[in-house]
Amino acid sequence: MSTFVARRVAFALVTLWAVLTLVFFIVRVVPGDPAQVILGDQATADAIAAMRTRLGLDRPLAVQYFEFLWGALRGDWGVSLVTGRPVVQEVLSVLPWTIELTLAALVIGAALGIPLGVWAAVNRNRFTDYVVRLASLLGLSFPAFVSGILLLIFFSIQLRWAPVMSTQRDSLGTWFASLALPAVNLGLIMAAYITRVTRSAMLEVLSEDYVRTARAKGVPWRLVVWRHALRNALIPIITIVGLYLGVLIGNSVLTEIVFNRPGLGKLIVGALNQRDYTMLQGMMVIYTFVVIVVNLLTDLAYGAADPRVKLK
Amino acid sequence: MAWWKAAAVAAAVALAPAAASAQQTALRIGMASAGIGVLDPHLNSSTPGRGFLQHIFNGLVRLPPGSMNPAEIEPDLAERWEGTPDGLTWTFHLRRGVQCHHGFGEFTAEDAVFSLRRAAARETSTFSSDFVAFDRVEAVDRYTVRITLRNPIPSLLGVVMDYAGGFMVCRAAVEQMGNEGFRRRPIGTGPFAFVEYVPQQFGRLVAHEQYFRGSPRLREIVFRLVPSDAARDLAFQSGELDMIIGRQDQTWIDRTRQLPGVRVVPMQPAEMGVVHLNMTMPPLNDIRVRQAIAHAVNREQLVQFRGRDVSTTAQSVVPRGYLGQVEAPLLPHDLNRARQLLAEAGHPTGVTIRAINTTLPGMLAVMEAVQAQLRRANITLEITPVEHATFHQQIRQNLSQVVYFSAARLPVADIYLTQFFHSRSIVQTPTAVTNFSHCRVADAEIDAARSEPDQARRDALWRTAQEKIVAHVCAVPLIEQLQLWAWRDTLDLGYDLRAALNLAPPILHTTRFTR
Repeated sequence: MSTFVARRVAFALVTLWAVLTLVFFIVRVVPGDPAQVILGDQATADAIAAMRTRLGLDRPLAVQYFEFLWGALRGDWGVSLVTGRPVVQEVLSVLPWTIELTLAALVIGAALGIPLGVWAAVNRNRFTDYVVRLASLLGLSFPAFVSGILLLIFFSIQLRWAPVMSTQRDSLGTWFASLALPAVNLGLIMAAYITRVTRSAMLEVLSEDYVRTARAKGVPWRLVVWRHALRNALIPIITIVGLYLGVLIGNSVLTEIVFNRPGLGKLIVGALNQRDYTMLQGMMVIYTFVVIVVNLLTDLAYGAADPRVKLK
Repeated sequence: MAWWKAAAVAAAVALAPAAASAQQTALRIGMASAGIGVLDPHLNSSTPGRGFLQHIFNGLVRLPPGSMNPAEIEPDLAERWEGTPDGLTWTFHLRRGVQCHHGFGEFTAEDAVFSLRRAAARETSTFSSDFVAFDRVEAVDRYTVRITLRNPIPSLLGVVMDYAGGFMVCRAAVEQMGNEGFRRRPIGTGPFAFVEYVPQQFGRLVAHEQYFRGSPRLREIVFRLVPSDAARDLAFQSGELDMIIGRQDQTWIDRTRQLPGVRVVPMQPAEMGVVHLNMTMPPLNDIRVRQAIAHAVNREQLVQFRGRDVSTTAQSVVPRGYLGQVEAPLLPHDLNRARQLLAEAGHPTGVTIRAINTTLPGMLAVMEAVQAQLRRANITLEITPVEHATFHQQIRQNLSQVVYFSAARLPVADIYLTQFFHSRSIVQTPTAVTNFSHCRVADAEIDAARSEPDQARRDALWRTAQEKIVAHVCAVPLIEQLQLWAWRDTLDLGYDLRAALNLAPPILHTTRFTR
């Protein structure tokens, strides 16, 4: 187990370096000049050149790269080219918002998706199954910004249960109200994914011999489904949750914009629009790190879910 | 089920405060952006940045709140001023006892000199080109500032007013915190002082009790950063915002006007949309092709498309209301004449021209409408949409035959003419600004007007410059689009909002809620 973790950590470090290098060069290849963005459309070419010098963008690329790597090794991610604030501070200020939204969406997604998937599998090709499949298809194809606005109109404008701008956290009540709608919005999408994967995994498991044996031995159907079958169907579900969690962190940008929540997704889009190189670099490191950790936890969860899985 | 009912009641009680009630001394403004940018008035030229920073800083002079008429300029930090007859030396007499925010002391002539030198320096200012005519800036005594120019300029007061490089910073604050520190904690003398800025969330200002015009009646202004138009509208509707910037289209105005207790105000300065034609690139190097394009454009139709309350047809290559603007003889919409000119130019079957355009919806929509209009005259406009930062870089690299650019500037003809039509501003030169057409037909008039002390002669020069640029079809002015704002009618701004040069209604020390 420890060998497995050590190998994964070593692999993670190489991945981090590769991502850092790629991001460093890619953001500089993309057209668009941060100095121009900072100074606006009335700046002269001279003023833009002076700003590039001040930002250190006129130095050779290799010098910038090694300075960046050296800073990264020391934990210094520099300051945002646009706001002048430390990148770490900017990222850390929004990270809790992203984590809480992602985890809440995961809980909602799993709480809805797994039972619905099991229910659909057990009632294969019946009315219930069709309804669940249709609902999950809708969940997958419905754009997050449309469902977000519909939720806002209904729950914030009509019912007044939650604020439109999900940034209040003065008390437990306001925090919950702020988190509820964005989490439901993201959670429903996640639930759609999980429902479909759970259904197909369960269908496969339910046709196994040991399920038939258990039923023949008189084990109650409920126990067969929830204890024996579901446990064996968990591996693909964990895989999809792990994969989707990584995607969710970056893809939550639409939900963050519609509900006006701070978050990593919105920070990435803002940094990209403004060509904030240092910010993008810092964000990518954090993002890669989170994806690596989630993947590691997913692998570890395989072992916990299925004792036959040996982590080597 | 008892636990379930109890939980439901608890949840209802907990959620109740979520429907925020308006605080009568705190104003919540919704801005259409995820960030304010760098908090330095000499570096930040963005719309949200200017709207926010204008409350922290003053100029030596100012435009009356709600106006953008340069003829109405009035005292701000300077209580009076005088210029020599040759327009080369200007003396400003400062108010006494003006206090900088957060205890940084009295604002004196040393602060004004420091601010102007800072705004004139390339390293610390976006607006350094506005100060090229400045020779010396000196403090005559503690409350007197003298500016000596190399040559007279038509808009000296415009340069030192509460806009762009004219914002006055407190020297002690910059020296104590350094430029980098100051950019995170700006210190000025305005009616509201900076407290905090949380990117993606809000910027917060509080009343400056020692403000020289009197203590503000509002205690706090929170600028909420809400980039989603829909979310901003909904937050306004739900009462979480008291004032919002609107979308520049008629449907937004019509819908928002129907909300009870809401005022919707279109205001100047209009952003004028202009199609710049690169006169050095074939086929646009042939004036007949440029004239054909000008004849093919239908401004009235564009106004109908964008909405009558939000837009109006352009009259010249300088927007309406700018000092020195005249109604220039723009070529009328005439498809037959356009086709005839193309045939005369050797393109009887039409021409194809290419434009790199931003993907910003408002600008792309206008350009697509122009594309449809040109097609009727056998002019094919191929649009390459690129993301906004890329657009700004590529149009400055001279990569686009046609550039659609929409902008508002200091309302003096000289600024617009110089930045867009003087040869010094041609893109890809060291002094480049935004002359995309490579137009150089009115350099002499623009330069002469700048150093002409006589107002009538200066106006005549500006008129000639505009007429020449129009005659050579360096660009085709399309429409002027107004800024839109909405607020609750319980908010009394304290003035009649017709215009706001910093693109957001200024909140004054007298601004208050009536209920």
